[in-house]
Amino acid sequence: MNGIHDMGGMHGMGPIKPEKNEPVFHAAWEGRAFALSMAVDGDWPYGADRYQIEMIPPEEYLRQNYCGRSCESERPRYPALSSRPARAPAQYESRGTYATTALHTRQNRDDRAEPWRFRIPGHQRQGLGEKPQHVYSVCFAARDLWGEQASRYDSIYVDLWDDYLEPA
Amino acid sequence: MTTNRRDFLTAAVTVAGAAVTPDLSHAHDHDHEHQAVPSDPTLRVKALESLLVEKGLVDRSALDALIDTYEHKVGPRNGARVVARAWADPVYRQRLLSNADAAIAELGYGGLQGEHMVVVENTPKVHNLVVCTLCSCYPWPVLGLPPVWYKSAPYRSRAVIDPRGVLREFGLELADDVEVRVWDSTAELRYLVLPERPAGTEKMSEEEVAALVTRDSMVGVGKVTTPAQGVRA
Repeated sequence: MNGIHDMGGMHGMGPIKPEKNEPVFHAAWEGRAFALSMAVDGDWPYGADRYQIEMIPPEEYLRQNYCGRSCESERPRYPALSSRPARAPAQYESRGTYATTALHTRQNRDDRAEPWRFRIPGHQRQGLGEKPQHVYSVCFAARDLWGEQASRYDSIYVDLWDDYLEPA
Repeated sequence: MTTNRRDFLTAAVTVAGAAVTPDLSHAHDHDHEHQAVPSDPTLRVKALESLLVEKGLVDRSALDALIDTYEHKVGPRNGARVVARAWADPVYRQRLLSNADAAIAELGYGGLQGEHMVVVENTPKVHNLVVCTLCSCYPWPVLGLPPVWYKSAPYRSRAVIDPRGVLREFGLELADDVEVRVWDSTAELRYLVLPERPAGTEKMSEEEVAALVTRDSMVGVGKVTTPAQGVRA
């Protein structure tokens, strides 16, 4: 799915505005909201809070700041993910050509449907819901993603689960 | 006058109600729309906290301790010590690049949002930049909580499509033939950039060079400079 949270490569978001001597929390409520989310996090299924944030309607997502979105995610309106240790062996070997495939909230929109080079061996990681699987660090040449405007020297490394890849 | 508090409130509400809502159907519309307006976050968080404390799910002193930890104990100074150690000790540097979790744990850092660390090394020909385009994944144990710009739409959207433009915005101009590697933390791996040690710091102690290492240099939007270089820049 194309979620609003999937921002890589979007245009028109304006300049980056670093803040000098930025405090960790800008208001007391931000600290309280952060601490609450940490304190109650223990029993949540893996990735659940992130998924809740990803399901916030786009206009609301853009309007709220980070802490506001985290606060919103405390309202579980959608089924959550859970995790298990990976059992299945890794499906892919390093240095092959694979295509990216599945549509999921943690797969970026910009790396789908084209075959890409796959360079780095998989990091064995927990994965997705009831289907634990490996995660790979996948390298994309910047020009493969963005065309000639990108530098031929540049690349983007994305962490992708088994299900996001298929032999090309 | 013997009007009690309840009577007074009833009267006040009736008068107010009469003034704004001539009939009940409008009163319903009003209520409905009112709920769509976002509440003040302060009130909302306070209400959430009270509720969780009341239900015994959260201990207020734990919240205070969490805030104190992330305001004062966990932050980029931790990462700076890791970087300074890697600069001082080539064997540690190798350990850090091959097994970051263990090497970082040697200095006593680890935990939430830093369980699976990868350290990427800058060289004269390679510059690394870290982003999380999907949210704001960031290596907390070594850098603390991310700054607002890291979590913002402008950085998340542009770091992957125009990394050199982003770096320019941070005052860093790279030569055309320097390879830029952008690391998008889309899963559970967290990245830390090992910046280049600035020239002229060879005689400085580990502690002294650690003081030069900035958060930005460990995200990859800056380089480490000496005070003299800083003035020149």
